[in-house]
Amino acid sequence: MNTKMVYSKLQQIISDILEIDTGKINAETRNEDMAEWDSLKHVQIIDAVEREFNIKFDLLEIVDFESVADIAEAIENSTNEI
Amino acid sequence: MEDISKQIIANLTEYYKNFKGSSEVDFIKTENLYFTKFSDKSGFSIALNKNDNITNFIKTVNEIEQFKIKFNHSVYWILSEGQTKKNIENLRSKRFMPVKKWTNMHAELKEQIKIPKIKNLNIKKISSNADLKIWLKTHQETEKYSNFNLKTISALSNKKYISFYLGKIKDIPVATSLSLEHNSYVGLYLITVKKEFRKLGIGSAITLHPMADAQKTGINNFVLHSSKAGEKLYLKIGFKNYDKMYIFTQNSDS
Repeated sequence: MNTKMVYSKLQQIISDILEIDTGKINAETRNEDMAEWDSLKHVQIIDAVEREFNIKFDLLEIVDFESVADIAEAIENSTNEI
Repeated sequence: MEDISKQIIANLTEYYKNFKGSSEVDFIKTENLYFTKFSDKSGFSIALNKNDNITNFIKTVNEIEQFKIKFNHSVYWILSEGQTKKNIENLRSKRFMPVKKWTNMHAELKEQIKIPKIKNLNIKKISSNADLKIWLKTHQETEKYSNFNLKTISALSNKKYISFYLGKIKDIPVATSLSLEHNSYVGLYLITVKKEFRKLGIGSAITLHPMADAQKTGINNFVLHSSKAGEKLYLKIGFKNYDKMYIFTQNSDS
């Protein structure tokens, strides 16, 4: 899966869970800058990402994801390992 | 070192007891957990001993589940890094996910604390309602998830063991902190500096000011829990990393 596809799917997941337009989400989007992206939504996003990409993140790294780019990078690292 | 772990937990619990539900707080101690129930329908559980292996994980999770059902509360579970690492697979299988990570830090400072002088910065311990309102506004502007209101903090400002501090640069409020004394340890909380005023040393000053005040009363031990971003600052002013804590929530969606 290429980077563009990863971002596209990620944008859709985040947009669905936060109920915001996909246009508001890009690689630089940081959870701390979005009122909608609270800790419980963060958990839902991670859960949805794991199911969509059929991966399991390292449980301890989840809490360090601060931006869309961080999640995308972890997805790519996980899918490359398969 | 075990004493410090207990102090960190005790101070943290005291802090939440005051800030979450004010007078309506219950503490329930079971074999495996220390559960704190707040009147705002939330609660948290702390696995008791930081070196505890949580010998029966399922039993412990069931206890949390019972609290949730019995009190209709959402529950956060706080585990040390060691407990978390030992139970990764168990946590996964029960759909627990971490929402926050704190570094618990401790400082024992016996030498007189010196507060850095920063041009135009004036820090004072709050004593009026007008200043308390400014403190709250400053905190809310800086903290995304602030859920404090004037009623809560007004009630707390009368407590002798809690002090609010406000930092201003030329009358512009720029920083907040709060200290809470419990069992001869002072915990430092809600340390915030407005984004545009960061990297000027204000964070150190607003942290050290309540510490210096506490020191005048004979207290030399300080605890706090830091985010990743704040750790460097606290190390610089004499804190040491004690351990890490992960805050978990159970994801019920499937």
